[in-house]
Amino acid sequence: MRPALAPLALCVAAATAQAETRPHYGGTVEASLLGAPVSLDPSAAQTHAELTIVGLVFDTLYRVGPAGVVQPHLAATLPELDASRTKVTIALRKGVRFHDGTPLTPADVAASLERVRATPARWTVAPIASIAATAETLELTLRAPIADLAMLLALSHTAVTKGGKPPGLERAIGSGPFAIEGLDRVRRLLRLKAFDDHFAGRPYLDQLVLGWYDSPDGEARRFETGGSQLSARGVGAFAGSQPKFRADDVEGPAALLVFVGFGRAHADVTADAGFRRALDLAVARDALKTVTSGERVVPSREPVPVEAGGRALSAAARAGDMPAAHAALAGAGKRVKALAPDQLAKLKLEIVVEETRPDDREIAERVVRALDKLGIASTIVAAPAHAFRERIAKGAADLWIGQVAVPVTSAAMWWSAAFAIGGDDWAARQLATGTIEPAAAQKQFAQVLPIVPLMFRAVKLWHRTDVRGLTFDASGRPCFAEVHLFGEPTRSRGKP
Amino acid sequence: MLRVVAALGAVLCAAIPAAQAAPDDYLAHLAAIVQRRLDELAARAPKLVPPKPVAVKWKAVRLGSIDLGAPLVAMTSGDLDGDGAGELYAVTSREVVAVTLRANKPVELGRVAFAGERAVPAPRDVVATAVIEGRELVASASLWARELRVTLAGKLAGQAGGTGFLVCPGERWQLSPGRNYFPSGFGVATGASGTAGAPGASPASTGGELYAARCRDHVDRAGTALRVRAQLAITGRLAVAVLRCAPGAACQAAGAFEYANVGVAFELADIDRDGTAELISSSFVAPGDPDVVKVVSLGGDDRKPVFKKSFNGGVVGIVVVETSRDAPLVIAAVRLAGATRIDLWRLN
Repeated sequence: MRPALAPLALCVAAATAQAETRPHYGGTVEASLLGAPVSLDPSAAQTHAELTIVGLVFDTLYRVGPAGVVQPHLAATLPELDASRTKVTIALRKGVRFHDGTPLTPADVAASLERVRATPARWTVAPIASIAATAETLELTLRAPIADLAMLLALSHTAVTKGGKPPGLERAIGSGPFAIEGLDRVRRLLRLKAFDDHFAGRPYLDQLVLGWYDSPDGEARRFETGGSQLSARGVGAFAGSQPKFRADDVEGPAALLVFVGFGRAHADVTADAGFRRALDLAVARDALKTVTSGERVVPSREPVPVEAGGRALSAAARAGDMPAAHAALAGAGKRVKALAPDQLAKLKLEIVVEETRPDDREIAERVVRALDKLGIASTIVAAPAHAFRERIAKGAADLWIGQVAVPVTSAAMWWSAAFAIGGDDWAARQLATGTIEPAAAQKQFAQVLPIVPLMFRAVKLWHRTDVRGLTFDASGRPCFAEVHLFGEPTRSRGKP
Repeated sequence: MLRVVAALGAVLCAAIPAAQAAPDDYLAHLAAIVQRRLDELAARAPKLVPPKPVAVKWKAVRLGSIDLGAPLVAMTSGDLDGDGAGELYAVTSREVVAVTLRANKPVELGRVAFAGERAVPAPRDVVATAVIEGRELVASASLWARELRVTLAGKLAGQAGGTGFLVCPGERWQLSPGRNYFPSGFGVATGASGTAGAPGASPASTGGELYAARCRDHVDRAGTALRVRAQLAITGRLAVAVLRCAPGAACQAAGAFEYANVGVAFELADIDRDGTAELISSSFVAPGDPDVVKVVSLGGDDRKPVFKKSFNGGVVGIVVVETSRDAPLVIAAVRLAGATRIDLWRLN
């Protein structure tokens, strides 16, 4: 396999690799999502699949460019602050249109941000006290000066919808490079078509088809038989086999945090910080490296990647610390009856995973092993994406395997996202005051453990040789708007 | 002398787009004005001197590298400071960088940035043009609504100009909205006198969408002005038309040529001073793939290039720099896809 020349280029409109011969327009590419999308609503996006779709269909005020630098996207400039640094004016680009041809206005942006306040992603607008729109600008009043405002407004959750209204399940009108053509949940396909009038340039492909699978070999088989041009499983999924066409691969940044979340089915157990700490210490994170398809995996006990200043785990820490885990569980047993030594054998926890993310089941098996070492029985239940999301929202699970992705270089975003997805508003309160101190966040996180981080993983995509221009953004999302077709695919010869 | 020929070309080129959209009586009126101006200019034009052939030794030598701070998207050469030697002008998505060659090493002279409103919509990959017009460089980049007019009088300076992309002196095109090419409506026939009877295809017959155009002037062995115009279609097909413009007479078609698999970096110039222009071109390969530069003499066998050189990176710019030497220098800019640093190679 030949590695791509610029695998870590980050997709920002008009900042991508320039063409010695220019990219061509036209064609259809079929690729895969890392799971089923439940919602097309930016403010409800949680998984890598949903964040990927949101990035294709909607636009945000800012984008995170190379080296983690925030760049204007829908905004014409970076936020302009007054002397107090709490009044913000953001001018919008002119000429931006939604997929239905109507102009995108500051009122749409204001309404979209206002709506986020009432969603689980409200932490993204926590520093903003009020939002108003003029004819050409957005006017924000901050609760306190904040350095990361543009970064917050680059997050997918703050993407602009028409009139600020939540997009429908099957039809979502955004202003992004692709418009939704159809969502077929039975065949597990999302069809997108190029939006000719995208302000940052028409995508090169005419059509993009994104599928999802409930088994790893389903996706690999489709790629290896030439049915799809891009795959996250790629070549070598079947021993001794080779794909119909030769494949190259591109890997993004390790910006997808996989974690254990806590439900309320046995609330006394899973809400106890001692239990959470015991689980955190018991999981052998080194073992997680074998779960993936060869992409980069960085085991972690903190929700902040090394690129954003997170601490790398020592070899000993990656192996787990069972004596410390048992000690933590013993402490919990004094507070929680079900965790008392004489009651542990009766306890059986349920770990819920989403059935179209096959890796999550394997990850859950490592969690089962850790619980087993602690003397706690557990089972894994795979649920369809919608049911999974409902159960998590209702707390109808003991443990669940989740994922979250934000721009890889921003510590404040990682801390905020991790606390928020664990149902803890500590980070949002800190953000509202203007900053999150890493030391304070570390301390608070270690005390509460709103989630148990397991690993950061990169997304690696294999692609046929006629698929060009594939890069990833700072959140590890593939930049399908930059993908183009050139020439014919090369047939495989010999081993891949 | 060449400036006079260039002025003739500018008048012709400027007249053509307006004439295409005009009523017949206006067209006739305009044609009369153009012809009169041409006659006046021709009457005053000094006699052109036939070129003296020089022996060109083709050999690629790396001159050095420059970090432009953003990917190179267009490059040209011109003598803006009037010192008799041409400078290189590299256009990135952000600015124009002036470079001179001293002791065979590239030395940066200065930078001037694009400014003003962003263009909406802009193509995903930045498209740019750079054309010398008199003592000005006119640079356009697709991220910006207005062109940048650059001068070098003591120091590099720039000011915003008009909209659109100047592809040849007096000829301005507009990109297809949001796309990296010019629509098929552009790409005019060469010369007001028409190309009827020209052997082979004229550039106008290439049809379809275009990536770029070049208009160059030189002098043939008989001392007659030649106007060369090339248009690159998005298929990689380059159509070249040559007009012979004798003093006091309308320009006549003198040749038409087609080349396949040409990349977006190409240049035309009479390097060996034999009265026939050479085409120096990159290859029609996917972005980021290793590239090949070929030199062919117009009308020569395309399969037997005068010079051929492979590069590990993509060739993003080819320019011909006039120097005090007998033959001009051919410079190629090479880089890996997306890189902001370019390697400059001298090819002769």
